[in-house]
Amino acid sequence: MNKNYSFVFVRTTLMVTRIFLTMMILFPLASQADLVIANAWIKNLPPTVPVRAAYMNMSNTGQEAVCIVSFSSEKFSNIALHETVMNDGMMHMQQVTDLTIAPNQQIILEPGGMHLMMRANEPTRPGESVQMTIKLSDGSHQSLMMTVKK
Amino acid sequence: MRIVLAQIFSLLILVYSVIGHSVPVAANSSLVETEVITLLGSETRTLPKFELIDHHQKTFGKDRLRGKWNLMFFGFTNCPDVCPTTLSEMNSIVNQIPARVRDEVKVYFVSVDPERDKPELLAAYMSYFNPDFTAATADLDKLKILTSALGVSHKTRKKSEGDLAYTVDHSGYVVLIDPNVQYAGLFFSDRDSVDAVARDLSNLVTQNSDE
Repeated sequence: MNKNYSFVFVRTTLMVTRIFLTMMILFPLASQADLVIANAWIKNLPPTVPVRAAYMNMSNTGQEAVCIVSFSSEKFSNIALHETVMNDGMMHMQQVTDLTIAPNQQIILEPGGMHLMMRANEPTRPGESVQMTIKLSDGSHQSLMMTVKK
Repeated sequence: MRIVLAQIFSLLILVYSVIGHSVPVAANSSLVETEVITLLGSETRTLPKFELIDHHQKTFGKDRLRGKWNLMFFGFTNCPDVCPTTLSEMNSIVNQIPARVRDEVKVYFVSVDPERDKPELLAAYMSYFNPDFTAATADLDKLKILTSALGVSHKTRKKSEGDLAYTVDHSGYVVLIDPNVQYAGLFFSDRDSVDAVARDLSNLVTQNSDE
């Protein structure tokens, strides 16, 4: 009887574990898994210039909207999302305050469009990798590496 | 009679030499079909005299542009996106132009932020993008002579009196100035149009040298 009881217990435990792992794969608990960042890079500039722009592709592969609250990096300060728009026939940088990515939506940050405007705390050099942290509205964080390119 | 003939002959030589010097090399851009560069055709107009200071701290005026096809872009070095992107594209355009005509094309970056963009900063900026490019600036009154002639606008966006991290709104097109120092065309730079702009410039230079 005890032997049977142990067998059922082990089998139940294994089954629960299997279901849990399957659920983890199919429905990730943390929302950061839904935000996929690709092609993240920073345009390098000479050390005499204190600002840099960063670009990337951001995709929401999940079922719920992902809201980005902030970007941070030890190498840069005052990081803000800007969009270059035409205003009175001039190129004008406008801050974007709400960065919510709908399910299955992709937002592309690219030269001449949306970009992260950043003040460099120190000079950058081509080929360098820079870590950046994205804070989401659910309190979670996601880390990414950006490559500095000429 | 011989004296009169000699005088007429001398006059003809004088007229010819004056015309020969005052009418520069033909630069009839309107005869060339372009893919990206918008040519001004009958609206092509001669630039007024202007005086800027280049990144070598030398005077930079109309004469520097004469005899070349010149690309001129207006911006500021604290610009993180449009200006460096455009300058990188200018670099790609110049490198795409066949070597035999490359010397006929010059690139100029004019800073509309003279308060921060001193010649030494412009020098570092140019040497980063392409040492063959020239940067220049001047105080706002002197800049206005050139920008007005080219329809270029710019506006400083200071948040407060002492704001040193301000941005500057500015026109985003590249101006084409022909070898006669005339405003001949313009285009918006784009990474996808680099090859086509290089072809346009090659055709303009070739057309000019064939005439």
